[in-house]
Amino acid sequence: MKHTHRSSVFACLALAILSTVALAQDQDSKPLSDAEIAADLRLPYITLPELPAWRDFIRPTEAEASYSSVDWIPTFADGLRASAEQNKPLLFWAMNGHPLGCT
Amino acid sequence: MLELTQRFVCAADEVWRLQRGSEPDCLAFQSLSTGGKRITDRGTRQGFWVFAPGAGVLSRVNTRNPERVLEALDAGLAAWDELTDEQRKLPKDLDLSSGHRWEDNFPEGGLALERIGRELGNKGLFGERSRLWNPDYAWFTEDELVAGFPDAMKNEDDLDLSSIARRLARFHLIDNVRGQSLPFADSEIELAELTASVLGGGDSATLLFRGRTRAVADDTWRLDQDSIWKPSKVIAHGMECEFTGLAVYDIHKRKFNTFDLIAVGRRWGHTVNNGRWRDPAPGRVAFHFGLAPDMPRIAPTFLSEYGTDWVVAPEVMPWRDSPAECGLEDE
Repeated sequence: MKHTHRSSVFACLALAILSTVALAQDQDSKPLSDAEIAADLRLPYITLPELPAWRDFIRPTEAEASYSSVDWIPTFADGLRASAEQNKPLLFWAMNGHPLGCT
Repeated sequence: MLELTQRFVCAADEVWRLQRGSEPDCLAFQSLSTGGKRITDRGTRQGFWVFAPGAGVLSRVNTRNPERVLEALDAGLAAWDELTDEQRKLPKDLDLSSGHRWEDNFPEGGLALERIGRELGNKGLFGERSRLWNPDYAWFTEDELVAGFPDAMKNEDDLDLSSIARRLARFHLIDNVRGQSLPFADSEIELAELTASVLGGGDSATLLFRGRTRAVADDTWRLDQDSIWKPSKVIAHGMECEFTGLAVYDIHKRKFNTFDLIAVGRRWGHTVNNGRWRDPAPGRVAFHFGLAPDMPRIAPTFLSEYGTDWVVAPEVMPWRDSPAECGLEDE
């Protein structure tokens, strides 16, 4: 009986410890926040000789920047005036954010 | 298509102001695009339009499909050919003046940078170039330039450019490669360090840049409550960047001969604006800052939020509320 009681006490104690461990593991496995995930992203260390290659990689290619070869007048009003003066229709590119900047 | 554009006068402009504003050039756009009315709804007017000064819209398309753009241009040219001389002229009473344009704040004698942001894969330079990129501009006045790059700089000086780093972190190291996003408040900048080590002296100095920034926004709007950028919903997001760069500065002319500043960054979260909800996982972004071309002068997206005395804003942001909300449709 005593043995049984002791066993029960040990069993309860063991269960309590296991539950505590399990709870701690649950807390440890809480999903990482986006900021924590981002913090683990390795960033390249850029050396000075690599700068031109990085510049060319980031900046638009000739094809991507082809729109900038058009001689855009940067306002609607000036475009409309020029349209009348040159007797040509106005091709107007309209965006939220200036089309020649960040849209 | 580039050849076809030579048959037009080509213009580009920010349309939100034009479709919602009450300045004369805005009213002219609204009248020409609707056949004489004010625009009172919030529907988009983005895209390519063909206008005749005295006849209004000849064609319009809002698409990324080049075939459809070509069709719209052809339709516009065909319609133009049918017009009378009078329809091709500006109506005599058409007022095209504008009271305020942000580019009028251009800092003569200062530093104007062109910023390109591009999505960056985990292989960096050795990976595929992402097609997600977006330009912007960053402006600094002559006083701000001289404060950062003093006339008395000499070989082996380390210049503290933390105020420049702070402006870049708040307004230009922004995850907008998918489209416009939101600036950071000053209180959201946890780190803004940028140092230029001076190499050489004499008339021009070579400057080696190194630095770091960290901007963290939670779900509270911490910029001006009246800001035109205040979103309908504030979502946590952040950006952490590391700078590397090289420039050659003419001390006597107070002008950069060359300027290359690279920032690679970790981004997380998104905003209601930047389309990142389609791809919400944290990732990398890369930025290049170089000297802006002299023309055209395009204002920085968040110039209105710079919070400096040299940026002059309109007394009333005319496009904040639609005409319908202002009751202007009864005018």
